[in-house]
Amino acid sequence: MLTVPALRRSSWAVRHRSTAVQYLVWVLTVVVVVGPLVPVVWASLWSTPLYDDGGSWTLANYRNLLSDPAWWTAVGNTAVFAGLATAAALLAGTALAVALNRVRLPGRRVFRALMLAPILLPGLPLMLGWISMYSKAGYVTSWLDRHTPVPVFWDLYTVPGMALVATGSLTPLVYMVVSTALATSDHTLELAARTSGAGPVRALLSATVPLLRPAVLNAGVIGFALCFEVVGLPMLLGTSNNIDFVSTYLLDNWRNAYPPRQGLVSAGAVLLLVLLSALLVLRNRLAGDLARFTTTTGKPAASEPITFRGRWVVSALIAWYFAVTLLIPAAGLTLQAFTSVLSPFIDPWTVLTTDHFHTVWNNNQFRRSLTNSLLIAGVGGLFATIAVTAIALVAHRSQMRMRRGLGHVVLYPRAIPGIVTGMAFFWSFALLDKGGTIRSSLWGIGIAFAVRSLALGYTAFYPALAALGEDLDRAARVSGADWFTAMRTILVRILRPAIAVSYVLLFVAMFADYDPALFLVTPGNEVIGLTMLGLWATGSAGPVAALALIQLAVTALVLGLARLVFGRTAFRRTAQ
Amino acid sequence: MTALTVESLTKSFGAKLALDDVTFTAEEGQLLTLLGPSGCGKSTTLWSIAGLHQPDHGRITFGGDPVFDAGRGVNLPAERRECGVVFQSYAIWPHMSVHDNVAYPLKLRKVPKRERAARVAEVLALVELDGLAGRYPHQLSGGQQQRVSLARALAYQPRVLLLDEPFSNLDAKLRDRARAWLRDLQQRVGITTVFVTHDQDEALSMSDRVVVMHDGAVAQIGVPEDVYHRPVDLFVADFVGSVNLIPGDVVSVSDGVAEFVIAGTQTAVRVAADASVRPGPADLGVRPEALTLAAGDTTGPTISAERVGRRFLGDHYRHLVRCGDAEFAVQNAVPEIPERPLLQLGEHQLYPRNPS
Repeated sequence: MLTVPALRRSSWAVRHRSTAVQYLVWVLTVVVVVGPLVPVVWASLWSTPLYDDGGSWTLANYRNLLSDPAWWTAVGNTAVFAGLATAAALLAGTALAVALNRVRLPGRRVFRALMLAPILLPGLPLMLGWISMYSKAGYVTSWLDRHTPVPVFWDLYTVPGMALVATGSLTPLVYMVVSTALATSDHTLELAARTSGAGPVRALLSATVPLLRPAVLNAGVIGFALCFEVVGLPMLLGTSNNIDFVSTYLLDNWRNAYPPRQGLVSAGAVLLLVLLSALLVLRNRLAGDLARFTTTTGKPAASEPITFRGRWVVSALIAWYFAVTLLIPAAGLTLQAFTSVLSPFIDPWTVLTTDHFHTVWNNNQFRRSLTNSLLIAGVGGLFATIAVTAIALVAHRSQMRMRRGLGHVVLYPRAIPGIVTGMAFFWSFALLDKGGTIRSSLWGIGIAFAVRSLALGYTAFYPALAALGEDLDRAARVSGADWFTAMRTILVRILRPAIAVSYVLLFVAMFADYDPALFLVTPGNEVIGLTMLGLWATGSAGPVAALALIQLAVTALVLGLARLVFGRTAFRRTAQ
Repeated sequence: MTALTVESLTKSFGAKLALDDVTFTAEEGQLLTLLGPSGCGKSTTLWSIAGLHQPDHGRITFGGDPVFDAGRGVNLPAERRECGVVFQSYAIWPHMSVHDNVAYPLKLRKVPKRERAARVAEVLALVELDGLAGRYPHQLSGGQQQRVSLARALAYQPRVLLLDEPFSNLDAKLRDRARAWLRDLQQRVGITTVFVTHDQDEALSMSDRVVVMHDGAVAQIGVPEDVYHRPVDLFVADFVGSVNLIPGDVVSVSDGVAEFVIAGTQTAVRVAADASVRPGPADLGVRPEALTLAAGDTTGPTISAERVGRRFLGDHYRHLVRCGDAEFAVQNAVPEIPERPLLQLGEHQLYPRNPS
């Protein structure tokens, strides 16, 4: 027998590199996630902007904010909006989830695929499609007004109108959460109701649906929280009627007030953050945070969907829903991009043009925002993916003392509204990067987008990691590998597909994101969303639609390729 | 020579004491089994030896070299302990071929490529997997995967081989063969081995020594025959094989013999009693196969019982009989026993009841 040499005594550096890596990951994560919030809180309690000298502790910012009637109006508007949109989305989402998962509906495979579209595709283009179709002067609205007796009772430029638009994007989210609960619910309960004499529909409604209450509640809290940070919608639809939301109130006071009221805005951001953090805590109480992912590996046996007469009617209703919320707006956006004038009074085929795409290509700002977004998503997404992988491995596969908190830290950005993230990094750069080198480069926005997407990447990655038995790394350790080598040669290799899926999702999310950039943008660093928001208002709907279409196409292409490579289950699982 | 010593290992998870002063040693080349029900601390002990768990107190040495010593702050990380481990789940890395799995520890030790290939071939031949080096884990059966795991553990000649319930994922037939095969291989290689199982048959048939564990503590250490025939307490007696507990009262003790009255009867049975037995309530422990039908010229203690029922178990019968308030099992190969059998009491032991 050959004699195997003992493991060589490694250098001090090698022996301690695992610990060093673990602590480095921990410290960096806390610094980039929680660190930037410190200056926001500080700024809210300081009498002068942090970049100025002097100043002292004060509560005046909060006093001024809470005594401003406009703030309370904005809070009221946002609350009504959030309540309406959440309620409508809960109804529609739950009904769709039950119908598409538990009833043998004609066309349900197509419907299910359509359901994912608003979650995966960027939201702003669809919103623009809604506006160009259903606003007062919109194509569909005008057409209905002219050719049918249908009264136009809706007006998107109101709080309920905006809630209607938001419902379109919230419903799929509710659908996902409820569908997950349905997939893991005990089908035998329904069978027990059947054997007790209930018909299939009755059994479904009396045995399965009531058990969805925790999931519905959970989805409701998520939806409500998301509504509070919405910023694009009120910018597009609220401004003309002077309807302020919390987000636009803060933004307006940040940009347009003189003298600048940055202290007051920071105070508002802190209050918003406290509210959303409270909602996140509530949600975790309701859902048992990470436990919800373990169910994805649950029972493989699918339950038999029920069938009843009249399901064609249900299918037709669902088809109508998708036509109104998805297909017509998408078609509208496409028409907008390819016609010189979009109006029901002019036959669109006579005014077809590709001018808007030429404009996008020839206009520096359009082109730059496209390349900027691609850079941020491509490179930033890569860094974010590496970060997510490292964080998940330290949090779940190391013996590091403080690892348990790390999972919560990385999920916390879910509770930080995009504009607060933007403001947080603005203050951080103002304090740490006085020369403005980072802020004036794409890195500033890129870092903010990456931090905001950490939670998404982590939730996409974690189930795959949790499904890998820890014996795999233990086996590497006892074979002679230190933690770092075991992670590198075993876990990262096995998890390559999950890492790639995380990258795709992070790419898509960062390509569509724009909220934090509202506070961070400097000339030359525009991203697609910002450019579209800014130029839509000036009336250049055509080029904006063209840009939106390009954004949609790039996203669809990336997702389509990824699906080809990795199969569809990976996305189904992580889309929520 | 003592290859492995475990001294006073203690480990608590919160308020629960997972290991309570666990101490044992294994001699060079021995196969030592940690036997006990789930949650008894046997796996925690194994993980502590491997360096995958850190006990709170105690000391572990390999051939005299301390790898863990809480008192002196010694705690060698898992990768420096040189333990070959076969996991219950096998833990074969799915992204590597059989060859790469087995070569991994050699690669980490910077064994040159040519020698590495030779050693891998040698170990694969040892576990009778020659020719499968290029396969991937998903192309192997459960038994083959287990042997890959074993080959990987043996590849770099570890100081101790640790096996965590390696047969629990095999079906009954395969398990029997695998036990004999593994025992034979272990003796050929001559490696000191610690084996964790909850299966008493496995422990009795394979081990040089058995450590029975209960509630985080060592209940008994001994050769398999000792543990089976001379269990130190009720737990060991019941866990290793099955035992009838016949309730009753000790009415008197003298010269190592007790007068025992089975509950619900009047007649006393004279049974062996060690020095600790005092008059009072007690259980008489006797294995079902130690109760035999008495022939005419019987000497020694007997119990007259009443037939209640029987179960057929393939190679033997288990007859259920009653005596007074007690119902117990008699095991033999006879399909029919008399309606009122006279049973000769073989190996037995009295377990005084705690006053509580």
